[in-house]
Amino acid sequence: MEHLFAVKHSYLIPLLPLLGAAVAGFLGQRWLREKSHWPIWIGVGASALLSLSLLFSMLGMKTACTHGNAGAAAQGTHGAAGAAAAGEGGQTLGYNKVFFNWIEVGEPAKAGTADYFNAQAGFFFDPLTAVMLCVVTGIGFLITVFAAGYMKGEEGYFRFFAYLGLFIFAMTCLVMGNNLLMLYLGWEGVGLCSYLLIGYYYDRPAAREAAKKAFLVNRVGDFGFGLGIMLCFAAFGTVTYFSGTPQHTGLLELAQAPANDFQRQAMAWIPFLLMLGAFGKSAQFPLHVWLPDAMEGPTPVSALIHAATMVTAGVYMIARCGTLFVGNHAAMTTIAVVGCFTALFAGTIALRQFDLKKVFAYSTVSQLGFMFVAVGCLAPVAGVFHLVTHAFFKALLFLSSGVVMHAMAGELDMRRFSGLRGVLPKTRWLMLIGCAALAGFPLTAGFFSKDEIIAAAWVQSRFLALLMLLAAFLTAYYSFRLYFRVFEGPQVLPSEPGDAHVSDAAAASESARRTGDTHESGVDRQLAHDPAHHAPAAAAHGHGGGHSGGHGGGHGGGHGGDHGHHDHEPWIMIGPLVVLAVGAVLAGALMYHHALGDFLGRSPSFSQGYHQAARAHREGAPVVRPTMFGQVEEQHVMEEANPDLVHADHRLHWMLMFVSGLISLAGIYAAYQMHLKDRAAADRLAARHPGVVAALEHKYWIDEAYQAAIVEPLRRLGQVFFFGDRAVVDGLVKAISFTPIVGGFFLKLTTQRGYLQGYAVTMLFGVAVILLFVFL
Amino acid sequence: MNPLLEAMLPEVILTVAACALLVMGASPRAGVRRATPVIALLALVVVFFYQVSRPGGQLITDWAGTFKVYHFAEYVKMLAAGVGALFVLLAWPTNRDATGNSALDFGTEAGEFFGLMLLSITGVFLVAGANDLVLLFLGIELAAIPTYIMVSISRPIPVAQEAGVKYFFLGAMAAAVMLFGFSYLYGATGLINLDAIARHFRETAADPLGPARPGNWALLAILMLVAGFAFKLAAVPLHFYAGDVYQGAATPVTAMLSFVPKTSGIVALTKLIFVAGGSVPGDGSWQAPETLARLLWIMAALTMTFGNVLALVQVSNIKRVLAYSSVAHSGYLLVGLAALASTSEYGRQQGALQGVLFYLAAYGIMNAGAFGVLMLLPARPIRSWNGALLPTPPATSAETYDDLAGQGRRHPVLGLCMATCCFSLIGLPLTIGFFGKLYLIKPALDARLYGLVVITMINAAVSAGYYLKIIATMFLRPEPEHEAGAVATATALHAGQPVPAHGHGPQAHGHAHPPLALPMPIVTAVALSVFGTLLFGTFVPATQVLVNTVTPASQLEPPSRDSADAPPAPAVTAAPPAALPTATVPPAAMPTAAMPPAAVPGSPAVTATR
Repeated sequence: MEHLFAVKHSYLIPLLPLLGAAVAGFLGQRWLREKSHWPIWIGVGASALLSLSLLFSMLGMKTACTHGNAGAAAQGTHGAAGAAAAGEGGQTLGYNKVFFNWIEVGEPAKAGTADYFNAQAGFFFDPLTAVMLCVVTGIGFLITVFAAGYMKGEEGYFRFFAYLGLFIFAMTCLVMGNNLLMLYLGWEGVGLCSYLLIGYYYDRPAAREAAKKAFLVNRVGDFGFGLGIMLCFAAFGTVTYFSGTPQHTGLLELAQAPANDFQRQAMAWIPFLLMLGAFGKSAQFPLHVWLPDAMEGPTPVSALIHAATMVTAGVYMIARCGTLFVGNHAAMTTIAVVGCFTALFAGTIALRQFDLKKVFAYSTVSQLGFMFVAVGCLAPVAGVFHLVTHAFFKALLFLSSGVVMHAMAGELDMRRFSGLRGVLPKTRWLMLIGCAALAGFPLTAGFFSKDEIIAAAWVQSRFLALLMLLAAFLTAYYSFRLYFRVFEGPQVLPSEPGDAHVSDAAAASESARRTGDTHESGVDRQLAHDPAHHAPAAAAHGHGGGHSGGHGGGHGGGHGGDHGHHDHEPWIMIGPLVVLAVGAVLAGALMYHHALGDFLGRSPSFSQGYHQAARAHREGAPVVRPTMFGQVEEQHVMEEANPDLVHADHRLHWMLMFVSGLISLAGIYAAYQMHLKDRAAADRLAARHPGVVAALEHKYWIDEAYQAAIVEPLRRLGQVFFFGDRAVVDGLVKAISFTPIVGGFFLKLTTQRGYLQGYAVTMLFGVAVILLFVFL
Repeated sequence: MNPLLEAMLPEVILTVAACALLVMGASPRAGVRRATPVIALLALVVVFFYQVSRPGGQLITDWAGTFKVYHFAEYVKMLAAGVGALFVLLAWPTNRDATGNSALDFGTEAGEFFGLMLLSITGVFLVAGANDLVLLFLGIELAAIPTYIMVSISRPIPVAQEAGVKYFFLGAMAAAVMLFGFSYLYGATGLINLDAIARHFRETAADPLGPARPGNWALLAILMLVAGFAFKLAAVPLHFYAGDVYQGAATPVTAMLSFVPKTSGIVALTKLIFVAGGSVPGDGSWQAPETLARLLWIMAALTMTFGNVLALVQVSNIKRVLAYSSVAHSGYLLVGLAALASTSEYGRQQGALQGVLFYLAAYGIMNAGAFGVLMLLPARPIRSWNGALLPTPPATSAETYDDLAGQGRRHPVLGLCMATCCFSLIGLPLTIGFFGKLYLIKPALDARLYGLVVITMINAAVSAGYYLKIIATMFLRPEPEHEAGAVATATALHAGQPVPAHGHGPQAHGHAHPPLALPMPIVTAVALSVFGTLLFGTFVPATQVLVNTVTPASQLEPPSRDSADAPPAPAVTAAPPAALPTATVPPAAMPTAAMPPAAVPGSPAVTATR
């Protein structure tokens, strides 16, 4: 594999975005200004091209390998190369590229023990890396293109793009690293970028708080993650995934057969510690609280970091470190249960959110829960598949809501507008595609990937699968609730308070909102009063704020000509969305004939993970399906041995597809009933269950609970320490620092008085004292 | 050329140059005055590079054993010449008549001034090379006496005269004590050659392997010498003059005072420790008497502490602060000497002396910068009790905290230079001062002087109190209100023009803030100093070069063959060829009549053949 251009020059993949970030960051403020996106476009675009070339060459290589060209991946120049072939059959595709030893402690002779630590600056190339790279850089590139339109005219434009470049750098390091320390480097790097970007509008207190919260909550997870890495090293003496040598001394290879008691015990703990990091980064309960608040960042950031890439790092990590996890039944169960709970829990919260981005934030948390269920149910292929499809449609949804936000001058409360299909015709279709994919509408990408997950859950536990179906129903409902409310129905545009031309409709909705009316009916009630009055275009038109929205019906066509001093849907923003929409529809085809699974199955992480899981199964762990690790040939072997199973599996698959398609449609129908046909129905339902509504709107009071249980006690403790510090420590220090001053004044006033004779006498006295030393 | 002449060439050059300058001083012409610093600088720079290029590693003595040059002396000469060049730059006459610069006014005495400066530095050279009580005394006094005169002629104001007089009388008294000590030493041993005295101490010791035991009379003499040297160091209890003299002298002279006599004192004290310990050439093992070690311990602790607390309580004059801080730095140097005196292990003694020598270099470099910045900033007129602005006395640059207030923000580069020097003087990392303290403390720890190390660290913290105050004054304190008008008024006063009544507002002088005069020599000195401070502090290879220079310099004489723990031979030079012609004579022919017969033949055939 080392002859590939993309591998030989793989350092360019992280380096180009970093260079772009440096150029944008250092030259942006003074020179590039409004052109600050160019270095990032070029850097990220080039690394996206490299990633794609890597992916396609690997696809070609895969067939070569399948056709018996075994061990084709030859020995590398760095001595750490070659096919990291699994011991037990199956050709795998993995290549270690080591640039240099990053941190090396101890003597190489003691390698493999805790006396020698070596973290290489090296990359590991396998199908999983290739897929993740394409997601990160490809979608990242689309989002940077979008951002150039979205962020236009913002203060600190260059800063935003510098951060984005830095983020892509860190994220590519994360997915390419060939050891846990590189992963950790990227992990903390993306955490930093996330912090910086959430706090991008640092003059806004909410953004500052959200940035801090994200950083601190992630620290909790990262603490566990760090401990996990240390324990890995302590037990196995290495943090490199795959050694690339015939001795198989990589961490993930050693983990398959613990050699002593310490390693066995460590294997019981490592998954839980690593899991903690994954829960933090991927916003799983109870560490999910930071993600919804992270929506304070600019929308492209929400799309890139908090939906498509960074938050999936936890899933990637568990998939990558499969052999560390799959043997541990308790850990896998924990992952699946937490994932399932999070999926449901966040899904219910999303039902009663009114901020577009908040809905999608909880939806992201929920979908991440799906992915965790997948990896927890021994189906990492399904997890990665959902990761890919989710990256497409969630980025699409976030960016579309960014367009809405842009057009509505920052307004995102869906109670304040409705029926935007006339104003934002293209966005409407894009959003519809995104919502359909999210809802799992049959034959969209989300449908296939979600179905895979539910099938995997079904294999492990029927109950879990039913819960996941419920979560899928919620997903379909809340996504179409949003779509119907925002784009369908009568057109209502928000107006700014204090505007001279406020229409009655807008005023009513505004007052309803401001008086804290929790019913989502400010708009609706007014509309009920006056159904004819659904074109506040005249009022909306005059706004200087930049949302000259109401072109009424005439907006659909070639807009911009007459009133178009502000184009709501510039192609720089819509273009990337179209690409994403195509992906959101077609990404399901990746799984056609298990193509993606088969490809991922070539990764040593997956094949060795499967063998590890199969071994565990023989020792009493839950059943494992080879396809779910991408081991298609193994599946054939198994099917030949047990034809009934095949039959059952196939039938199950079709049945689940049918059921989940129905569930999705049911969710959409329910949303149609409640939020398009009769919008009051939702209020009536809500009015009947005030307790439930309150719980949902307060997000189950999780934030409040944290505030009361952790933040406040800590703050009190901090105050105690602070006053202790002030009174005791500072007092002591001040008292001590006072001593030399007092002593100095004493000396100054007694001996330094400026009289020559005084000096002479004192000096002679001093000499006399010195001479007395003779008697010592 | 004769190696002895080669070794003494620096002294010759400086003395010749000094004589020429003294002759030139008779001329009343400004052009001649302008030439004087050039000659002085040239002489010092030539000597500096001559010393840098000398291979060292070659023991050179004269036939009488009066003079002994090895790595140690070569290094001290190099250092004194290099730092001395900075002082010449600081003292460069830059005004129209070449009678002085912003902080210095020697009138028409430029030739005398620079001649004396060169003579003083020559004194340090002689101390470094002296191997004889007489030459040692001569060297010390040659380093000191010119400075008395320099203090007096540096500024035409009473405070400078007063400083000069005080300095002279107290210096004379200390010299008397020192001379008394020399006479006792001679009386007790009957010897004037230092090596011979050391051998005498060694041979009269009860235990030939234990520490040398000078008799009580000899010990008394040693203590008197310590007291005498302590005056040069401004070490407690002979530090009293420091504040008044440093404040009174012109700033460049103060800078010189805080380095040149100190170096002569440190070098002399080092030699005394070696002698008192019975360090016999060719035999590496020696140990200073416990009394001396204990005395140095106490003096180090007291000197640091007194210097720092006195600097801490100065409320106005920064030259006085730097004077006391100079006392404190003597204390730090004494820590190294205490470590040297407290151990008998060859390697540790080397380490301690290396620390001292490194610190001398560090102090010389960073101190010059701090004084240089003071010279570049103008003094501000003071308000008298009735609110009138008093004129700034002549030849006075920034001296007080008030003068510095806000100057860091107005002149950020100068502020940063001052900050760098102050950080270095504190001993913060990334400056040369950090490594200086590090190399001082490490041997002290090795010598188990834990208490002294703790006191040193506390003192470093206390010193931060006033150094940071200087920086804070420059950057954080606002400039005084009357600044704008004041400068103009002061200028007018100085020019003898009628002064408008006080109370005129700054609007009368809206243009105010005259641009800073930045005379090139002073700027160069500051730049060199700050550059050195940072270079040796941040760029580790450069630090290593300095350390490599210092490492062999810790040898007063070639290491003995049998001292097992001796460091490897200095890397800089190859061993001298065996047949090197040195001007040695058979010891029997030595004219030191008092040389005891025990001065065995062969032993001072001094090792040039090694």
